[in-house]
Amino acid sequence: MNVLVGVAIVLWLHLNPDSSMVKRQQDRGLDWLSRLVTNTSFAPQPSQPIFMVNVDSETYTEWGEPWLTPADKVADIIGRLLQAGPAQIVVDFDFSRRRDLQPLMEVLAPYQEDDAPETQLIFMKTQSLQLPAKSVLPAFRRSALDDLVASSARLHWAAPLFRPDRDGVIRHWQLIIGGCNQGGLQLLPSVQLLSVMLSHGVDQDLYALLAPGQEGCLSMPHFAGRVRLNADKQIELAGDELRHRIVFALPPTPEDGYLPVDWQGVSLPAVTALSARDVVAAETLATGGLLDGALVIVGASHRDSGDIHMTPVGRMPGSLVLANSITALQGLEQVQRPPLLLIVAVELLLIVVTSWLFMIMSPFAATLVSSAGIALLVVPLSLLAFSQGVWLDFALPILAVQLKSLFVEASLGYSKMREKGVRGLL
Amino acid sequence: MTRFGSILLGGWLVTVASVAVARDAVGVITAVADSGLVTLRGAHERPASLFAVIQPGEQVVVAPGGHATVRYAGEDINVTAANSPYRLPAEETGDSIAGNMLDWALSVLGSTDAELEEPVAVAMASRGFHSLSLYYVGPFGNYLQRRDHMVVIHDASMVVESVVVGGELQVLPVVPVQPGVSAVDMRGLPEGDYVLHVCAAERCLQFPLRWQEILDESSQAVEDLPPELAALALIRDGDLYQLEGIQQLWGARENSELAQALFARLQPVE
Repeated sequence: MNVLVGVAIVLWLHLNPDSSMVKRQQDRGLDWLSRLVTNTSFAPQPSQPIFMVNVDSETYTEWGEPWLTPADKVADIIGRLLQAGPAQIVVDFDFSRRRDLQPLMEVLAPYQEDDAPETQLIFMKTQSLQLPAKSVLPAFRRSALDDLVASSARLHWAAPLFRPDRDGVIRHWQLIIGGCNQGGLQLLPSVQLLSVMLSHGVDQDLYALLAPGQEGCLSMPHFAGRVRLNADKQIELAGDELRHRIVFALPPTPEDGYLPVDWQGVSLPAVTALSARDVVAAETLATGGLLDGALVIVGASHRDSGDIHMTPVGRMPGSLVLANSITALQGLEQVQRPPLLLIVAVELLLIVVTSWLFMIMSPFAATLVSSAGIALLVVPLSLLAFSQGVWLDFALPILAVQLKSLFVEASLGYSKMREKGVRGLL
Repeated sequence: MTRFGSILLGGWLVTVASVAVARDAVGVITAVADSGLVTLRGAHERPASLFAVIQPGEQVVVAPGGHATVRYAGEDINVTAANSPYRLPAEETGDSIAGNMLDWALSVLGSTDAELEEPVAVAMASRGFHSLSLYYVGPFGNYLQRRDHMVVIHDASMVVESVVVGGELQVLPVVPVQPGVSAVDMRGLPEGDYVLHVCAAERCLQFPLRWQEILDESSQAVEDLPPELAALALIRDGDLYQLEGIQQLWGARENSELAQALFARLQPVE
């Protein structure tokens, strides 16, 4: 009987994956696991370090707390970085609705020449709040840089859009974002997808990845295909939320520094963040140095930027969320569940053991022992599996134990009531 | 069951033991003032520059007047002539699962929480709230023909206290002419490019101004229209001439009821 109850509970949990109770428990489990593995060798391992140039509080103050990050300063930073020959520069500022971009256009002018810089530049494209007529998709905002970006194969737009959960925490990404342009569907890659595709030299037609019948602006686009990066690695665009979960390898302010990553013969911290004012103050950036072939993200980290977000590993600037997303997509297969057979086997085992515990102990003791047992036995395995991108869901068994405990207590109460009447419950 | 248990136990021990070890990393120069005064001394001596790598055991040597910051093991080490030469110690970087678990446990117990260590105040205000709002002023450029007074439209609840010419600290006299409209005496300001700081309630809002004797052709495209409509066209088109349009409409007010009505409509309702 006990085993049957356990099976029924687990079955119900599996059949209702979208119930708020199940989702909350899973989120808690994954958040906890993320917090344990962040900045360790069990987190996604970056294939290269990330350099960040931050408009931090000191820079923001020194620049006179400007309403918008000045384009001439950003142009200066990009100009200096280009000298050092990084593989990619992600510029995490919104340049739509601005008319002061001339300095930026001047610094990007070499991209229109035959010997354009090798560095791939990625700019952010945001979406309007207003929906065009007969559309459920917002339009991408126009920018004075549109023509320039369209004229070069090494200048790109990407969408820095993420989906915060109901509690305001960013846990998932969107790999391709749909917008509406003159009644037609317009697709843009996310920053992380574009960055990884550029690293692998992949030129993927995003429209070919649309699920059948996904045209126009009347519905949110769904995707069915996958982006093949090389023979061993491909990115699935479909699948459940778990596949689009960000594993945050890079916490905001690690006390002992970031995990080292091998780069150009030395062990560099996974993230090296510089203040924008120090970059602007530097005489020149040496060519052939650390930045050669590297990934650089230029963004704002001061509080007035409005670009600070809550994640499972703490509050962090949007540029660090981008860094985490790129690292996760580069260094790890997308999160997935183990084969169904393994899940069934493990859960059956847990059901039998917990049922036995509920037979020989009081419900309170059995709940305590089985929850602790699951934590002690399954969590280490979860950590090992998680480093391979596989999530052994220890949260569900714990939830099953809790539900079972409730059921057993209710059964006992019912038996007592039948034996002694209402007094049996008191 | 025993075998499965020993596998799990093995997994647990391996996990904890293997992640307890972090690895050594190098230091990186993240700021340098006057790089000619800062050198890195190791197997060979080299000048310090932004993004230069320094290995544990190597030294940062700073001459008087110089300064360098080394990011190492999560800390910023400032090196000046006072603490030069600075030798980089050998330290492990990165976190371990055991350390992260301890941090988590302590945060659950309330003993520590990195989120709470830094007092953070969050302003429940959109940008611009609690400070002066100026209307019909472009943030990146405003072309205006020279005249004796310039009117600015702002929140009716605010009183413009001063208008200062940026850089030169020249204060321009300002008088309120009606709620939400102030007139700035521009007679003392010669032709040129300026940044004006309009201040109220201890906050200033700045905007650039191209102050010209004669405006270029862009503002003349609507000259065939009646003055009220020409002014309105400039305002409607926004961009660089909307402030000029406001001035023209203000000027037409005295002789035109239409201009009066249009001007009143342009003032934001609060």
